[in-house]
Amino acid sequence: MQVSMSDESNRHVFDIYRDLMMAVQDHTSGEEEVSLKSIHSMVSRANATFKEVKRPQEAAMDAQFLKTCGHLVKLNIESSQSNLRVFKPCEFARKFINFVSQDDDMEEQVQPEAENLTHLVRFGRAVSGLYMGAIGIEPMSSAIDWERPPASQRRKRDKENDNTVNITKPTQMAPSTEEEEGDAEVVAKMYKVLKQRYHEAGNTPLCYFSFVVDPKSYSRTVENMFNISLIVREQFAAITEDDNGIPVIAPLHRSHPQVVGSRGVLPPILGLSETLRSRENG
Amino acid sequence: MPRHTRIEDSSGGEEEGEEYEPPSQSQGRSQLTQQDLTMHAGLVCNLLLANEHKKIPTKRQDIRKLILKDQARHFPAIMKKASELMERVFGYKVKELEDKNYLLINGLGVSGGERISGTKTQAARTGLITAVLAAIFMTDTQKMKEAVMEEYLKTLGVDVQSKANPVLGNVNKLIYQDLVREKYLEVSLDKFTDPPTKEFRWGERAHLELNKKEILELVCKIYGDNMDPKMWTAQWKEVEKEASGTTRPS
Repeated sequence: MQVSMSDESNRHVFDIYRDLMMAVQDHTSGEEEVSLKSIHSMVSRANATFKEVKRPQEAAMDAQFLKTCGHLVKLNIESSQSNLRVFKPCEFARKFINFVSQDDDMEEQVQPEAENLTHLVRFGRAVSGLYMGAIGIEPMSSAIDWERPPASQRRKRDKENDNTVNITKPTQMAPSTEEEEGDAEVVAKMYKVLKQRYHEAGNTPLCYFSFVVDPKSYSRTVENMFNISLIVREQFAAITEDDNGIPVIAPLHRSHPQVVGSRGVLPPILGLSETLRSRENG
Repeated sequence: MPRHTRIEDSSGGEEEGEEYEPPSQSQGRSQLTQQDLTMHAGLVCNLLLANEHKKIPTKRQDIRKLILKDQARHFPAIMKKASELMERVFGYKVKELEDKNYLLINGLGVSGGERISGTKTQAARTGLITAVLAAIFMTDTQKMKEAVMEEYLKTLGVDVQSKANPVLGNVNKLIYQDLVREKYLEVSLDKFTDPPTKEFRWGERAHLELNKKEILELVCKIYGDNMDPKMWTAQWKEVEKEASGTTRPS
């Protein structure tokens, strides 16, 4: 009894799959088109029937049925999307060139081999409006001309000599560097200017402040004061006070250094400080 | 930052505009005044503009190290203020990239129509970038192999290996370095091929500056015959994704 029931159910399953296969094969032969909806309903029926499959024969039929349905679906998609294009870059490039060339204003046909890339230039000007980039940014007169500073290199630590203290004793005077030579040139130039102004003023001492102060540049003023101090130290010039107590400067002849002060040495910076202090007090 | 002593009026409140800082408090824990916030935001704006002029994304690290320095903890507030300033004053939007860098895009919308593209080189460059990006967009996978790209550009009349093109200059450097640095293109290595090959895809700046629908319409215009953009189903899906705001760089 049980055997007959199982045979009967197996036969039932077999019949179902046979009917489904026949329906699908009819569609495959191309006699009539099949819709996705009908394929879906057939697959759903096969899924429901598969639960009762107990023999490999019906299982093989189920697999064959699904394979055929897949093929039908693929045919269905291809037929419905037969108007789709496949993108081919080189074909598109040729169409692009023809498209750009289609201009009544152009006198010559654009050649892609032209080195001036006229077609790209025209195309670029036409499509520049597509970009939502930030436009109109102009450099602000190098105010933001910034370059990444070079990375500082770490000095290798000399572990062996960490605990020792190296004492260096100077053995001789270091030769003058380029900076010192540059300073000497500036001082010489300033001395020349001083002499010239002195002669223009009728060989009368010049007001020290008028000579060194640059009203537009504080740094230049400080430089002038430093250079004058070098000139005075070398006794090429002297700073004294006039009748009104204002410091004045005058060039000296090197062969006749002028002795000022009780020590016989010119203390230019100290003298100026005392002068200013006495002016404040007086 | 100057330390302010606490000023209390009869009502017991602090003077308006001053930030209280006890003398014992370290500078790193200080609050940021409105004036400092605006000043730092202004400096960040300058840096963004300077880098955008060179089409280089601004690095977050540069902002922190060069401008914020000891105020780096206030980075979110300062960046927010800088973004507001950029949008209000210049009409630019500050966009953050995936690698935490920033770039500017036009926040006022595209005016449409032909825009003056500057010199001939700039116009050719724009044309080349657009042609390349359009071709990449039209591929099925939104990626283009190196060999295909070289053939495509060759058909367009551009030799990728050229280093002395009279209009574009060093084309190889332009495509593999300049456009990648400017984030118009991304070049990745496909390790699954033998030998490994390079692939081109859209860069983050391209995703931000260009509208995919307009690119698709441009391609259809080039094909002619009143081609419907919806015929390109994969690309049309990308267009719909972008319209719904769900597109992310692929």
